[in-house]
Amino acid sequence: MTKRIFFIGLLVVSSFSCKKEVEEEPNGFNKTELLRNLTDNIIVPTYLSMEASIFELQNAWTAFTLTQNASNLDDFKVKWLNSNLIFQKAKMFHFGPGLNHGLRAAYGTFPTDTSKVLNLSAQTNPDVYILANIDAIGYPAIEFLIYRPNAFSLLSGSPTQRQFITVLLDKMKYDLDNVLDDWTTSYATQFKQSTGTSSTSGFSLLINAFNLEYELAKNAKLGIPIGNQSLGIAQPQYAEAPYSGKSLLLLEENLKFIKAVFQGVNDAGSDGKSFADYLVSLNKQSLRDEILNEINGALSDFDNLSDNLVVEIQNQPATLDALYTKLQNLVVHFKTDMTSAFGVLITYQDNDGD
Amino acid sequence: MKYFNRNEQISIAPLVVFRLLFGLLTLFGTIRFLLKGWVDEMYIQPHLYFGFYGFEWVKTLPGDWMYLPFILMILGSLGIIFGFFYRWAAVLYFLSFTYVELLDKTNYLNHYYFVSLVAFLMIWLPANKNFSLDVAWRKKKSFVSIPKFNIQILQLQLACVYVFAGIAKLNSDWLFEAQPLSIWLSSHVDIPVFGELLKQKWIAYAFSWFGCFYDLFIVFFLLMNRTRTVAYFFVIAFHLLTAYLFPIGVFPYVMISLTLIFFSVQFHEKIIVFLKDRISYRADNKNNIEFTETKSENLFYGFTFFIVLQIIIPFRHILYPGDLFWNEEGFRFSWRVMLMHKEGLAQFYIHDSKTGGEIEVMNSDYLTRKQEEQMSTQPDMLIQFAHHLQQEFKDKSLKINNQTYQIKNPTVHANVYVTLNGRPSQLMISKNVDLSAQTYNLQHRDWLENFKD
Repeated sequence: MTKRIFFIGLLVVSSFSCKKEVEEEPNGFNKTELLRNLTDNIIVPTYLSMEASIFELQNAWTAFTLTQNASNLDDFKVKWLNSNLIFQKAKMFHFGPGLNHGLRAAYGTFPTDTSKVLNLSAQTNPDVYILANIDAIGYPAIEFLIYRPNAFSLLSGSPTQRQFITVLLDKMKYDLDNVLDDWTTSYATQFKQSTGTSSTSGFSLLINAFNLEYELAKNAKLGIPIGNQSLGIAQPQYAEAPYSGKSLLLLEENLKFIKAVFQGVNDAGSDGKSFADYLVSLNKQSLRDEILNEINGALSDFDNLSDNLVVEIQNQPATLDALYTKLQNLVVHFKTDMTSAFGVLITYQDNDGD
Repeated sequence: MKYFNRNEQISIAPLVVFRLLFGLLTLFGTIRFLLKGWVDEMYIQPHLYFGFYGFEWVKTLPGDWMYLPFILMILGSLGIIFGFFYRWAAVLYFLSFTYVELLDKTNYLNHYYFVSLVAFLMIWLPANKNFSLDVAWRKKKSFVSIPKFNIQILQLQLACVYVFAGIAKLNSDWLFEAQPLSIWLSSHVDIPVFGELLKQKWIAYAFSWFGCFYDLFIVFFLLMNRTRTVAYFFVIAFHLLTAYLFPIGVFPYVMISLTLIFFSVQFHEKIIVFLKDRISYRADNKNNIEFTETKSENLFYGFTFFIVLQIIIPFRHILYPGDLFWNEEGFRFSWRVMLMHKEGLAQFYIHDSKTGGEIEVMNSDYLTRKQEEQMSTQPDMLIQFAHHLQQEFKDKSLKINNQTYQIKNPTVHANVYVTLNGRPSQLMISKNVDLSAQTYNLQHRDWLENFKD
C-alpha cells in the first residue's frame, strides 16, 4: 500500500517537472493573450475614440455658443449621437479605472431628471460633480436640452443653459482623461498579467463586467420600458434617449459591441484571442456557435424596428417581447455555461475546500 | 478490539498540543474573517438570510452588534490556547461560532461545520489538565495521563472528514470525467510552466484519482507507525497544493495542523517539554496521576453516540430519490468537498392573479452577490427565496404610470437553469411550478425537473 501511494504520488510530482508538454499544446490558448488583445485592440482604442468624440463635441458646442444657428445645433446633435454610440461600448469596462471614476453612471444615467436639469442649468455655478446630481448630467441631460421641443430657441435665449452644457462636457472630458490616464500609465500592464480565477483577477473582472453589461442592456434598455417589471404595463417614460428617439439604436450598438468583445474583434478589423477562442480551446465549439447564433438572431430583429423604443412600444409590442425573450435565453448561456466553463469565481470568499 | 479499550490510559500530551493548535487556528480564522470585512459583508449588509431548516429562529443581531460574536470567538480562542477557564472558553467559542454559522446557509462550508464539531468535542475533553493557566494560576489539579478515548474521538472525527470525502468522490463525474477538477485546473492555464500542463485531461484524471485515494486511505497510513511520516509528508503536500490552486481559505492549514493528533505520544511530549522549558513552566504535577473521573464513563458513551451520528448523517441522502448533486437533498454536513461546479441562473416572476400581470424580479434588489450565486443552484434556497418574495409582494401596492395597483394574492414562479460539472445548462425549475404553493421541508422536492445526464 505504501509503495502504491508513493508511486501515484511520484507520478503526480514528476509530472510537474515534465516540461516538454508545454510546447505540444495544440492551439496554445492563454488568457494573457486574451487580455492583451482586449486591452490593446479594444479597451484602450475605445476610450481613445471616445476622447476624440468628446473633443469634437466640445468644438461643435463652442461653434454653437459663438454662432447660434440651427445648422450648428444640428451638427452638435450629430456629434452627440456619434459620441453616445461610442459610449455604448466604453461603458462595458466597469472595473478598474472606469469603475473608480464612475464613468458609466456619470455619462449614462437615464431617464434624466428634467426638472433637476432645468434647475441646475439656470444656476451660474451648477455643481455637476456631486452624486445627487448624477441623473442630471451626461449624455441624457444634454440630449434633453438639445432635443426637447423648441430646443433651439430655448438654448439661444438662455446663456446659463448654454454654459451648463459646456460644464457637462468639461466634466465628461475630465472623467475620461482620468480613466485613460490610469489605463495607459499603469492599469493596462497590471490588468494584462492578471489571469487568475480569483474574483479580483483581471480576467474575472472582465467576464463579470461583460455579464453585468449584458444584463443591464437587456433590463434597463428594454425590459423595464416594455413593462417586464411592472405587471406587463409598458413604462415608456423609462426608455433611454426619448427626446432624440434613438433608444433602440443605442441598444443595438450596445449588443453589437458585446458580440464584438465575445469574438475579440475591433472596428479596425483586428481579430484576436477572445472568450469565443477560449471556449473553442475548451472543446466548447457548440456553445460558442449557439451564443453567436442567438446574438445574431437578436440583432436581426433590429432590422424590423425603428430607432425609437417609445414608438415601437405602441406599434410593435410583440416584436419587442420576442426580442426580449431572445436576449433572456442568451443570459443563460453567458452566465451559466460560459462562466462555468471558464471556472471563474463570482465572489472572493472562501470556497468549500478539501 | 484493543483500539477501543475504554479504560486504557495514555499521555495527555497529544490533547494539549491539539488544544494549542486548535485555539491558534480559530484565533487566526476569526481575525482573518474580521480583517477581510466579511462580518459587514455577510452578516450586516444583507437584507435577508437563508436559515437552516429547523434553525430559522436564529437571527442576526442588529447592525454592528454582529461584531460581538466575533469578539467572543476571540476571547474563547484565547481561553482555549491558554487553558484559562478552559471549559467556559470552549463553550463560548462553540456557541458564538455555531450561532454565526447557523445564520445563513449561503456561507455554509464543510470546514466551518468541522470547526463547530471539534469545538463541541473540546468542551468535553480534559485538554486543560496540563500546561495551562487553569493549572498554573487557578491551581486546578493537573494530570499526566487520560483515558485514551479522549484522543481517539478526535482521530475519529478527522477520519470521518477524510473517509467520507473519499467516499463522496466515488462517483462517475469525479472518476470517469475528471470533473469538476478539469474545469478548475484548466482555468489555471496561465500559471508559468505548469499552466499548459494543468489543462491536460490526464492531469485532471491523475489529480482526481489521487485525491480520491488520498482521502480514502490517508487516515490508515497516519495511524500506522511505519507509514506515518511519509503519510504526513503527503498531507502537507496535498493541502498546500490545494491551497495554491483553489481559494479555500484556512482549511488546508487546519488539516495540516490537526492531523498531528495521529502522531505518537513521544512526539507530542517532546513538543510540550520544549514549550514548557521555553517559558519555564513548572506548575504541572510530576507524579503520574491518572485522570479517571466517574463521568468519564458517560463521556465515553456520549462520544460513541456522537460518532455513530457522524457516520449516519452523510448517508442520509439514500433516503431521497433522484440525483444527489442536482437535487442536493441530504448534501450538506457530509464532507462533500470540492465535488461539483454548478452555475445557475434563477429568473423569478411574481404573478398577480387579479390583473394577470407579471413582475420580473431583480434578485440583486434583495440579495448580495454571494447569496444570489449560492441560491441560483440550490433548491432549498430557491424555495426559501420564493417564499420571501411572496411575503414581499403580498398586499403590496405598486405605482405604475401614476396608477396604483394592489397585489392581492401573488404567486411566485421561476425559470432556473443550472449547469453541473461542465454539462450544458438544463432546466432545474420550470416556470409552470407555483413555488409559493410548495412547502419548505426536508421531503423530496418533486417539483424539481429531473436531471438529464
